[in-house]
Amino acid sequence: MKKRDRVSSIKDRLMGVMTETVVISLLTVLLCVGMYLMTYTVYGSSTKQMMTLKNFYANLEIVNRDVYTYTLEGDEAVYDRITAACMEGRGMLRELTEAKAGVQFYRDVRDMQEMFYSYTLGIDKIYDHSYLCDSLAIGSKGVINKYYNQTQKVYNAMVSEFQKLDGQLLEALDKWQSQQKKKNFFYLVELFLVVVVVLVHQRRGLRKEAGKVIRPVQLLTEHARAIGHKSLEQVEYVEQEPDVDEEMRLLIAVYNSMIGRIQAQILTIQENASAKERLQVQELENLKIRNMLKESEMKALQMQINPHFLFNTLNMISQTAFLEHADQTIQLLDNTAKLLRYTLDNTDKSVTLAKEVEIVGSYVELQEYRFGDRIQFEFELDEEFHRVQVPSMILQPLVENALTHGVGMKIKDARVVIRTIYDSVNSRGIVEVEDNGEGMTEEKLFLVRAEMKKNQWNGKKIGLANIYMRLQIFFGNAADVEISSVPGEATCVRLLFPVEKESENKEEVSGDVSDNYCG
Amino acid sequence: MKKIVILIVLMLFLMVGVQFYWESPMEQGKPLAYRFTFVCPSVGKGLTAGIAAADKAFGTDTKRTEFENFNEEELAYAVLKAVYANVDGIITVGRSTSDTLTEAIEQAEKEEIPVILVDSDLPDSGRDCYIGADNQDAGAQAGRVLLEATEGQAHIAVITSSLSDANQKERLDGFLKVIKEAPHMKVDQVLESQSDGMRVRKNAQRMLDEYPELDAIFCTDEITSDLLGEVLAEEAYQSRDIRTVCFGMSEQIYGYLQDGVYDASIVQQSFEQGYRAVEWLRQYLNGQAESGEIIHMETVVAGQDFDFESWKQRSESGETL
Repeated sequence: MKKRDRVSSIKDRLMGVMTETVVISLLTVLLCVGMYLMTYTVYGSSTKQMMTLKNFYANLEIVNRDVYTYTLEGDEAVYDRITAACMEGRGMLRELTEAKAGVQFYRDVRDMQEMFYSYTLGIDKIYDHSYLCDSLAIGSKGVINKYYNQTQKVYNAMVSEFQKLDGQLLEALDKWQSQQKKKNFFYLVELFLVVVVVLVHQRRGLRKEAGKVIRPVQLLTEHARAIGHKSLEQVEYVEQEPDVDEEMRLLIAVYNSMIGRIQAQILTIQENASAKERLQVQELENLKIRNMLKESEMKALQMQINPHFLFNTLNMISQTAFLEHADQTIQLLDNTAKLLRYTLDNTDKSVTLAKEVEIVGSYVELQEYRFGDRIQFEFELDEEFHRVQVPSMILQPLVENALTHGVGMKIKDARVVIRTIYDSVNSRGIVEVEDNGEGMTEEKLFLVRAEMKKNQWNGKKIGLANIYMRLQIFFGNAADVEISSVPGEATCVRLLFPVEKESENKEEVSGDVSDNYCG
Repeated sequence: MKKIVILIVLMLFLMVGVQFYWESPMEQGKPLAYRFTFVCPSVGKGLTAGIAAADKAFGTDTKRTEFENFNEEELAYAVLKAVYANVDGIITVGRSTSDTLTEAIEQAEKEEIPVILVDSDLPDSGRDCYIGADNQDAGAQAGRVLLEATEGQAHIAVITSSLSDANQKERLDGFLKVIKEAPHMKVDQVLESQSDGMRVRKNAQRMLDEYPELDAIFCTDEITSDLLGEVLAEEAYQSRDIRTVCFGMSEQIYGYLQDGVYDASIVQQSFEQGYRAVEWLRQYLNGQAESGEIIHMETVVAGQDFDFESWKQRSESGETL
């Protein structure tokens, strides 16, 4: 709580500066008003004194006219008027003695008071003697005139003194105005200096506050602007300067913390994006495989449709051949039908290797009818592992390839060997189709292997790539297809896939494996 | 905020200081012990300073009514106005040969207002006191100085403000008494300046040009002495080696003494006269002095060695006796 009291907020400090400015402005205004009022009061007082003097003179003139009238007429009412006016005149002079117009003016007013007193004494003498006029008629008028003349001498002296007094008062007023001008000038200079000092002081205060507040804000703004130009992970933290305001320090700390969190989040997002990308690649790969499977299925279906039609047709032909007692034709048709049925029934299914071999046997029989003695088909079978499940139609395409690309063009002594070998050491089965056809050059062999591994399959050929893919899928990458060839001599395609051990004598069999190996 | 408050306080102090500093000459007058009036033509500062010093010392209030040029009617009317104002005492100079001033003084006496004459006396005026130099003696003193300076042989011009001034006339009389005894000293010209600067310059120049044999001047009053030196300081007259004895003391007169334009000046104790006048009036009103008293004050012959600074300080600062 103490700390909070000690460290005032930006708002409090700015309010403090504002309050100071307002208070000083008010004080300055009050001083100006005070000066004005003082000046106005003194000026008013001086003006009043001038008016009093003028009124006294006017009053004196009236009294003197009345004295003349009274001297001539002796009217009591006139005398009463004179008495009242003299009373008023005395009051005016008394008022003038209080004027702040200097020692000389005071003295002259005092003399004027005494002169006025002498004047009124003269009037009193006229008044007193006017009673005697009735009883002592002879010579009394002359005495009154004498007194009247005396009053006129005093009156004239007063008039000349009045001009002097008026001049003095004017001089005093001029002097006062001159002083006031000097004072006002001095006050204005002083006020101006005070205002300048206060403004400079306030400006320093504001600059200090600005240094504590605006500088950090500028820094924050510059950094915020930099965010637009740089990537967020490159944005640096705002440096905490030593004389920065406590609240701005907090703001900078929060900003830095925010930048830190954003950078961390960006890193996480980037990592996630990378993982997602990898996943997408994987999914793409999977999708490709699934597409290939689908296409394979489609092909198989298409193949199913054609075989069904052919199968029915073949049955019809077979019945016809039976009615005509054409046994050889019946045999051919049966084999064809059997092959087609197998194709139709077992596409996309796993079958035993024995069944595969059996179907290849049917196929071979058909081809023997076709090629006669030109091609010899040999079966070297190790039936120990023929119960193993394999994808259907993996053997027949190999034999067909051997006929088409291997020995098809050979006129005589062509040979195709279908061989099964159980490798007990490695617990795997080997199926080989070997022909002594024209073979392949190294380049072609490399190309064929590459195409097979890359799963390039143009759809027209259900060849090695198809078999390789299906074995890979079926055995989970544990299967393989090897191709070896010697140009002009032989080609051997070998399927290798895992087989579980079934009997103890497999050791003995394995001893022959290497001997019978086509490679 | 602390600095600002200090600044404001300082500003207020300064404002109040300024206010009082300029307010002082406009103060309100106060009633003092006695109201005196000093009516005089323009006289030296010494007399006025002496009166002011006495006012300060005794708490009296002496109003000064001065005239630029001497006018007997004006002087008398000023005395009468003082009488109408019923002052406690009147100080004036007896420079009059007519009855106007005498009547005014008599009017004052009639109203029981004491009148004291300074500088010059009117013994038949009914004044209560005279304080000043014995002008006959002062003139004789001047004559002796000029006699010595000219070694008893000179054509003299006398320049006076007005021969109708009693004091001027007395000084001239005293001077002539001494000169009379020297057979080779002769007053050739007598000039009245009326204490007018233009007249002094014009007439003095004309006189000096018309009478080239003039080689000595006696000036009987201070105002003319102030003005005459300017003419004599001109190159044309300097070469004539005119020996001059004048009256009074001022910056100008002291300067001419130092430059050798004047040989000597007869200096009255003006300050003391003014001071003693006020003092005497106060004493008279308090019953400590008698009417008809004559107080003669000595005159001093001032030459080049005159201690002007001391005289000036005493005359102008209002230093008491």
